[in-house]
Amino acid sequence: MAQLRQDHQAFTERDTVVIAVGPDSKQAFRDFWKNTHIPFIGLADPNHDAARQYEQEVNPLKFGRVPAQLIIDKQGIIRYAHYARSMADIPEDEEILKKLDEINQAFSHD
Amino acid sequence: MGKEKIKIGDQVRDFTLEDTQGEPVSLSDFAGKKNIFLVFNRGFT
Repeated sequence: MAQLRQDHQAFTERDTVVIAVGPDSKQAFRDFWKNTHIPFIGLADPNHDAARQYEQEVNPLKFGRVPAQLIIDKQGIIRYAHYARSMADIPEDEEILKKLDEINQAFSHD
Repeated sequence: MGKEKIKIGDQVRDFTLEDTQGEPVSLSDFAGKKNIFLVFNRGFT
């Protein structure tokens, strides 16, 4: 989250909205967003509806949900999906931003 | 369960959830306008 907050401008410049979905309650989300001034969208998914749709692994032995990151382009196509194998397995923003540059470039040539 | 695995090139699976301002947000809100970087967290509490 800290990495994303720091790089948020770079996502905005690439015509990209950042949406974080988590299992916490609406109130927990509200408090967290207020206290940490996160500039992007945060969605509470306490019933795991969205997570299930995206097959995010819900595994109590791995302390709840395992992180996942996806890029969806303007045409609603999934262009990148990374499902972590462990809590520490999170791609660098740099990798995501590079992918977004490729998507934007391809889009402008359509 | 029983659902196809997410693959690159698949259509978005839309959902609507409430944001931290209490407003509903759907992935389809951004169709044709913005790319989406969707992050599923394990939770911060």
